[in-house]
Amino acid sequence: MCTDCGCGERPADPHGHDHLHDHDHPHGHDHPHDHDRDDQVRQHDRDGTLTIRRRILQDNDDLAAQLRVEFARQNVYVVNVVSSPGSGKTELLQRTMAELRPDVRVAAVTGDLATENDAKRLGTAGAPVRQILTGTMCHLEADMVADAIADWDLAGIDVLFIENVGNMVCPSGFDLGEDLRVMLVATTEGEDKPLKYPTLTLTADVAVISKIDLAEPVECDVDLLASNLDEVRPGIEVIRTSAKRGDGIDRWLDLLRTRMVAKAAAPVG
Amino acid sequence: MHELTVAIQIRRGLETELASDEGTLVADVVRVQVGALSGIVPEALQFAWPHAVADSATLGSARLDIDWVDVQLLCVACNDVYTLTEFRSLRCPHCRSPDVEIIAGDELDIASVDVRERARDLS
Ligand SMILES: Nc1nc2c(ncn2[C@@H]2O[C@H](COP(=O)(O)OP(=O)(O)OP(=O)(O)O)[C@@H](O)[C@H]2O)c(=O)[nH]1
Ligand SMILES: [Mg+2]
Ligand SMILES: [Zn+2]
Ligand SMILES: [Zn+2]
Repeated sequence: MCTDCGCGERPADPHGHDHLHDHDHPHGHDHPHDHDRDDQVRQHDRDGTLTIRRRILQDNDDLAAQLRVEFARQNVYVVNVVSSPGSGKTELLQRTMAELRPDVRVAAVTGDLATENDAKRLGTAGAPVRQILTGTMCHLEADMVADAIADWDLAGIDVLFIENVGNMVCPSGFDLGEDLRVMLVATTEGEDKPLKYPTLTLTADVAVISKIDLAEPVECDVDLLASNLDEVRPGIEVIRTSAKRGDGIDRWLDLLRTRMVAKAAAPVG
Repeated sequence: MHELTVAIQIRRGLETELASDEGTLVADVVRVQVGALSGIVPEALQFAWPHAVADSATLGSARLDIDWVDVQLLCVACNDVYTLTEFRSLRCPHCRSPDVEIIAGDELDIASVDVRERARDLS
């Protein structure tokens, strides 16, 4: 059941970003609006408890749903990449964009509290890239993405990568209209990271273990890390990569290509 | 954490819901449901609340009641519901089956608001 509105529907994925069914129920705030001239009566009628049915992040969810429809219409596959600061999001995306670029039209937006450095790194492959500066905001929201891509012709983009602000907690609640939410965990972060941040693990569609080349020097047990991901989210697809050395990149690119094709083949709407 | 964002969104949501009564109502209590999977720290949200509503005529003096919702998993294999004090896994805590459904704990909802008509100067 959808715990949000009790409407009996529930998305297959536990995270909110598949909530495409209509939540626009009347909100139950149906106290009398007949503006009675007798103030005493009106006061009596209007005092009391009003039931409100509204998600706190509903504005974000609504905009994300609009973005998702637009992305589907224009056939843009959208990937939201989330991790702790420094897990290797930019490194992975830089490599991914360079490898896809000959035959796939890629673009990226990247969110950081400050500096344009990540946009510069992602732009080296020559694709359109926008930096979103969030100031104090610890995550991206749908309106920031909408603003960042407002003057782009989506018809000219096959894949849009969104690099979220480095943060393991906050981005998980904010749908950006993406098709795929990818969680990165570096071998340098410890095997129990997925257990410490179960909410993000729960909202991810795919997990990428990054910096495999560093597993040995930091004595990371990669199998344990992978099984911890699977413990929180049974069945989650886990890809082991090194963006520096190239391990696992083919598998990652295959996954992206397969999902893109599947989306393109799916009926819009 | 983004509890201030969340507090501001509660304010905006209520302003939308109460739009037709703008300026004539005063809210005394705002009730929200926050699930354990929301990533929200209730104390931080409570702390942020007065800052988010300080200049709101309707909500400025309202208390925020946070209804904390534990995670509940329905296990299809056991055909039973389990309440978790701490979420660690999307597996049944009893039989370890992954065939479970989250039936509570992912809430981040406005539930209700207690309002009264603003006392007016009748002179
Ligand atoms: N050895 C190794 N280093 C890596 C790898 N991927 C990233 N790094 C390094 O890790 C550091 C952080 O990588 P970034 O790609 O900037 O990480 P990020 O997740 O984008 O960081 P923020 O945007 O600040 O959150 C950089 O010094 C990278 O060169 C990898 O696969 N192997
Ligand atoms: Mg980066
Ligand atoms: Zn935050
Ligand atoms: Zn069970």
